[in-house]
Amino acid sequence: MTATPTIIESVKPPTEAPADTANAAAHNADSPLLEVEDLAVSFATVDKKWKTTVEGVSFSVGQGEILGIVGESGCGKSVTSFSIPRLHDERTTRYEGRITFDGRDMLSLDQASLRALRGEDIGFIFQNPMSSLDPLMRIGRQLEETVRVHHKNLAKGEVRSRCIDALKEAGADKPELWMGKYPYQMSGGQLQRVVIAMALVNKPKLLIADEPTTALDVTIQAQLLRVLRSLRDRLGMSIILITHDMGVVAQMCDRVAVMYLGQVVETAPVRELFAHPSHPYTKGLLSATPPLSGPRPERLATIEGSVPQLSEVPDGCRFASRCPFATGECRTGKVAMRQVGQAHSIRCARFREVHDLPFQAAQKKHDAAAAAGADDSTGKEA
Amino acid sequence: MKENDTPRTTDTPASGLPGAARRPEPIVQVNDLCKDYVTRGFTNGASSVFHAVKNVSFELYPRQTYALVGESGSGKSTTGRMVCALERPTSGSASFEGRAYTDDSPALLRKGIRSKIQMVFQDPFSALNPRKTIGNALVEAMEIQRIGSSRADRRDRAVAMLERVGLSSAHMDRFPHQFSGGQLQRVTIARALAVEPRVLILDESVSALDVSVQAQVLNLLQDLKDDLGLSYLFITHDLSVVRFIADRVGVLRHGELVEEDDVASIFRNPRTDYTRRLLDSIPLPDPTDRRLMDGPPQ
Repeated sequence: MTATPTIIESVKPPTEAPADTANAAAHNADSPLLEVEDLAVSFATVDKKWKTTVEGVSFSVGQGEILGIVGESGCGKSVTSFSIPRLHDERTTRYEGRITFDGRDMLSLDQASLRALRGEDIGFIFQNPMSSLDPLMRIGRQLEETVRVHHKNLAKGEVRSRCIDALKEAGADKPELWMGKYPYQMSGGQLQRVVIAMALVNKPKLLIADEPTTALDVTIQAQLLRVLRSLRDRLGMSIILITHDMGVVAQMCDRVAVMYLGQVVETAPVRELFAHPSHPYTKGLLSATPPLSGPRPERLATIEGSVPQLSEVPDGCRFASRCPFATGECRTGKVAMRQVGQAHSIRCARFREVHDLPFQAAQKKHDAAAAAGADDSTGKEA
Repeated sequence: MKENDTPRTTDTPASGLPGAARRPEPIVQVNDLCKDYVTRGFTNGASSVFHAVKNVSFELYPRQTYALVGESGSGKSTTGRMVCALERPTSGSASFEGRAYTDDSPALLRKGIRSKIQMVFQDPFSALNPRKTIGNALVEAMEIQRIGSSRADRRDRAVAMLERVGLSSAHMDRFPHQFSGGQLQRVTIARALAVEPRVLILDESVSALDVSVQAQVLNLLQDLKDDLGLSYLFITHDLSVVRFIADRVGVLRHGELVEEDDVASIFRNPRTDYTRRLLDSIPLPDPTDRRLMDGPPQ
């Protein structure tokens, strides 16, 4: 850490004061803040081989945009988001593809420049607030440390007031009091606010929130989602929101990337995604969620089976084994992302036929075909 | 949340059978259940009493699903554990088919209520012994309840039960770590059903599952209820699950039952501010209706 101050100055573009952030946002509004192109992440296995977990992941996040990344556990949401500030252990991780953040090529940056970015231009909120806070340190000291690491010469009072402002921003009712508390003295919702405050205390351009509300009650979740929204609305922050909850996506995001087994399988603007879910997995996810309005269904639509282990990624389309629309052509070769609408792409070999077929109808037909011993006639109805 | 929220089952006590005389007896009746925990300070030994559950009463009718909802710390699980006789109430009681059992001795409970009321927990990995095969876990439950005539008979019953929940005989000799979360939750359901209970208490049993697997398990629970004539006490914080599975809903807050109604009425017109607030906090999966974002962030 000794050499960091000078490096920070050389790497960081001159956008210190919060007023400048808005200018910067207006300045390069047409080029996205973050662009991930064809990202693949491999981890070293015990027998010295490389195991690719996430592959062919591309998306971009514009200035002041909220991108949602959705999918079930094991689909690579967290691996992807950890890759942006390169949080994986570099000794056992290999990145391929391209990550461009704010004009910089993230995959070729040295460690010192990365450290200067983390917590300063990129804020991160982890799922479990309890494990991202030091239990033996008062909240205030932990927050102040985050500021000091990046701004060595700031006056004590200024550091403190920035922390208190961040806590207020995160919805703390008594920020001064919170500063003196230890993590164990606070509730889960309060701790998550502290973690949010810590992520935004240096006014980052990009906030990555990995399942920030999953462990919380709905009422607290609603409050924190509003906090995150207001950060975007008032400060122009870009946010990547990782979640498995389609409701959270619908309420919060501008654009959505749906992930399945290490790949993005569908991206679309949020309204388009919910109005015309096109990838069979997205359709399945939406129809498996118990509805909150309309008639109460007798049964829920289900996606057969469960997400396979990453060690047994199938050939061809990764969703084929669970897909009611799948035919022989789905089980071989690589499937590319194809455009099916305005800014709307899916990774499906049968993208032409599949995108306006309802999931349940295909499933019934699929079940019937399976019962009859037939295999190839699935999902042909209109 | 509109009109067609009518309960699926026809024998709903509130609306179903003609005439009050035909109204079925509740299978489980909970009367003024209270649970206090005494907490002592670490250094000075001063004690204070925490009222976890306060005067909770409700009835669970045969073939019905009663959902207990509320935020964490509202006393839902404590109530469930008392109804399952895993926890002794400070006062009040619960009765099964008219007989109060909450003060029974452990031996009496084992002979009586344990085979009638079973529980399925949230985390199947910690609910199963990691060193016991699935088959042995099911057989053990039957041995304790003296169900089945021989070990072979019990194993046959265990296989049948696994098949009933969507697994197969191939799973009998596997260990818990060889299963996914969804499969393992099916195992714990099978184990609970192995002793032929009448009531299942499901404490956040589908909350940890991924959406697609959760849908499978919810469908399974509906089928089992209809086929085996079960009654469920369903404890959850997830209101969309409640709307799908419940007939009647009790809303707990700080240990008190603040509202109780049929599921359709709870969703259509909640009578307390608290229930309304819970309902308003659900993120609707509809990007054209972003009312969740309207409130204050405090």
